[in-house]
Amino acid sequence: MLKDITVGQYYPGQSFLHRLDPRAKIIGLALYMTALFLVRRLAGFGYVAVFTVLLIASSGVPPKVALKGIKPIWPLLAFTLVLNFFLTPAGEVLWRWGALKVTDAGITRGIFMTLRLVLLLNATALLTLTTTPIRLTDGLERVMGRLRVPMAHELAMMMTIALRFIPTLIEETERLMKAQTARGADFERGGLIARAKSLIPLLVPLFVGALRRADDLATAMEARCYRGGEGRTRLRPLRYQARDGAALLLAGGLLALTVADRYWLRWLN
Amino acid sequence: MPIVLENVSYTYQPGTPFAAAALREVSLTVKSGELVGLIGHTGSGKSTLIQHCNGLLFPQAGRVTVDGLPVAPKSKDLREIRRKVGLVFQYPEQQLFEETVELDIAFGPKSLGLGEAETRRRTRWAMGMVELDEKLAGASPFSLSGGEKRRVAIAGVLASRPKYLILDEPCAGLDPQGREEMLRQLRRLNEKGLAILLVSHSMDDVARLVRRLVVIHQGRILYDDPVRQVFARAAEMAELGLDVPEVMKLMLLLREKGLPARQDILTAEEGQEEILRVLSHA
Repeated sequence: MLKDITVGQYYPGQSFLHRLDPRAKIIGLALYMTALFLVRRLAGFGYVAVFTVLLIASSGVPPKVALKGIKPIWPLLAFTLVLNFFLTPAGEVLWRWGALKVTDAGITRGIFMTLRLVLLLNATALLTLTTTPIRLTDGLERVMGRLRVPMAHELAMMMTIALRFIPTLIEETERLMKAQTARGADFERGGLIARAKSLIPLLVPLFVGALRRADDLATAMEARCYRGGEGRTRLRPLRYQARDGAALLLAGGLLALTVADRYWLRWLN
Repeated sequence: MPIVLENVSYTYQPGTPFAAAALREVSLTVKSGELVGLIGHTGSGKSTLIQHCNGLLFPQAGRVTVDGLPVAPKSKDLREIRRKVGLVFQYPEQQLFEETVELDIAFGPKSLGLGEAETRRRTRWAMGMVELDEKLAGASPFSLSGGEKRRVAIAGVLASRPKYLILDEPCAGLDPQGREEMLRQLRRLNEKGLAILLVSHSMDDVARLVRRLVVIHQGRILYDDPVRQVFARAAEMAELGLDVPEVMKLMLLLREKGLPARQDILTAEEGQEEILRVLSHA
């Protein structure tokens, strides 16, 4: 179960996507997301999907790995689908049962939202899969700095640390589960309340450990004279290359296409 | 009745590029009341092996039985097996979670569904076994010293009254006095009839405590012999990157200097006698 968590996982490679400047990838993703939310027709998802598939194919990340990110949010996807089915008031009623009714608009909306989530998740997963955490946060820091976000460095540092400790915490959780199982704990039996209660022997030591680790890390950082972002230089400064321009053009092209589709092509039809 | 492993093999992440064989056809028997040491490098398969003994991992090939009960997934005997085989992980103090020492130790018996009186009786008994002061029963486990925390954690496993106790590096991170006490308590537990499997890479600890020693290397059992016999192969051990007790190294040095020191000396006390003996003859 815990092994399905792919947040922040990096898949090493040398593809075009891997070598892109992280800033270009972040801006590109922002353009992609804007495009995704501008799509209004089912066909519109067609070219966003084609674009996404091409991205995955060009990244050298096995499709199985790239799609694994969806697995843990299955319930959320199903929830979105069902909720939109039943709770969209507009449109022609197709089926009714008591207070519940399904409309044609509801079905389209449900499918839209789910597709949107799936594509969004795949694209963001691709960002972390092709970017090392260090480069990712480096890029984020620079982009946020440009946008005059206050505490850009601190936010980026917090993200780096959080990403770095996800695998550690997963490992720790598995270790604790084993240790408590050996003492007779059972994480799979009983009703909802019994199961929630069975998490206490897991969560308390996990938090204690996390706090202890945070303390150690803070000491280690201070011992190495860490003082925040001011005047900080980098071992490998980011420099834009020609390919970054090309990538941004591509993402911009996708956005232009969706905008055109939404506002002008409609009148042509 | 014993814990029996027959030709057990286990590979992590099989069928992927990350596949790593941890155990290769391991056979091992731990009889009740025995005191056995298990040594090997980091990554030799020690942890994988001990997790097979109480059903935290299941053999991919081969068979594991505890007192005749098969260790298999979804076996209805799994709870009984985990009760019989107490497993103390490395740094067990990190698993403490309750508000008081007493409640934490009572976690095992409570999970077994025992009544309040019996739980209380067992908690007190377990505290006595690891020589924890009764006054600490109401204290928060997080307020104790490192050594005390560890003893609380071990008491938490003992409270389920296991027949076998497996400990992974119980002395790691303890000061010399703490180690000494830990080893003494383990010996005492063994004298009360508890079988103990001590996993360690400290040869000195193992040499002082156990009679039978199992050496595991790259997922295979290399030696399973009386402890003196294993350590007598000092050269082979060194080749595997495993050490022999410090006293033994001293005896080897004496021998190189031409003094007829015996090679099966394990403890400092024996070493002292041997040095005196050798010198009085010289």
